[in-house]
Amino acid sequence: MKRFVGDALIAAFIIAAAAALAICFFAGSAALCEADDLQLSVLVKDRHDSVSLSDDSVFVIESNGFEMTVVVRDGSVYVEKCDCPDQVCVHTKAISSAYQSIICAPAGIILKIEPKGEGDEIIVAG
Amino acid sequence: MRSSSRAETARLGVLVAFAMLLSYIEILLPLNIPALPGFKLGLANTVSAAAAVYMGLYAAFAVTFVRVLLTALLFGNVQSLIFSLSGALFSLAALCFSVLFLRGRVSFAGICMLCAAMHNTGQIVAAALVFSDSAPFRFLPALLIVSLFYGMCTGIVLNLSDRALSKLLKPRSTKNARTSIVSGREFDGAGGGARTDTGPEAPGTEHAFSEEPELEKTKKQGEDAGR
Repeated sequence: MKRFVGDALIAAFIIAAAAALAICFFAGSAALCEADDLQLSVLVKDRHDSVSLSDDSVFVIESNGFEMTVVVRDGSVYVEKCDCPDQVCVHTKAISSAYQSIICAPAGIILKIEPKGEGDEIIVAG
Repeated sequence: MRSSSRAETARLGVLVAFAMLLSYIEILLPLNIPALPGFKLGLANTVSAAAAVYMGLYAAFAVTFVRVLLTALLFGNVQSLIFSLSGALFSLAALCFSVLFLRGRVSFAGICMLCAAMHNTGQIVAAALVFSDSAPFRFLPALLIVSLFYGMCTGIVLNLSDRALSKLLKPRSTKNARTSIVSGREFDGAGGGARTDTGPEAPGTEHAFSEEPELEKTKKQGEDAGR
């Protein structure tokens, strides 16, 4: 019985840690829900570009020998196709809120939605 | 090489093979959770947990590192090796903490939940370091909750397999009693008798979750006999 109490305490500790992290990460992003306040940051190795979420666009990113096709539509961003081996980025659901991200580890690409002004000067890549 | 060392080496080899098999099965499973990209069940970590409890921390380290290296060489690449190694290191740290400080206080369910959570944390840390960005950390809250669930399931399976695993993995020649990690009761069965000379015991080779370390029990019996 003592061991099951210990198991329950460990579970409670992990849930508390997850809740604390969620509050830290997502509390500030709740107010930034309009696409006009947000931009898409594209991080490829040491290069950082920004794309506006207000305009629909489709662009291709090449990195580490892989090609990723990214679609920006109605303030949401998703990966249409990628020739990486694990396809995790393709199966990740579309992102639209601040600080959400799509990561492709083989290609070394991070697509991250940030408040305007946090990244580089906005350019439209396409 | 003494027969007990050969037997232990054989057991470790079987554990490594089984862990690699579980890693390969994980790769084949179509587990794509849109909110948790790249999430894995971490089934191979259950083998490390069993090795730590029944054979000691040295065995757990050996099984884990050999499994991670071979799996990356056979099925992955350098990047997958980095992520797997990071997860394995964090998971082993949780195992060490469980074995050394939570004796008799948790069952396999607690150990597996802690190891699963730390494994995912390690992989997130590795991703953040590789990409030099904090974006991967935002997946951590959801990952911790899902790993809690899967860790509990695998831990319950290990709890139910406790008696069988104890007979398979505990060396028969030692006089350490096999103690259930779930109930704390000793098992009947083969074992006991004179201990063969296997050299200094690695920390944790007495059952990691017995209520009282075996060496202290032996001392007390010696003192009682001397009176």
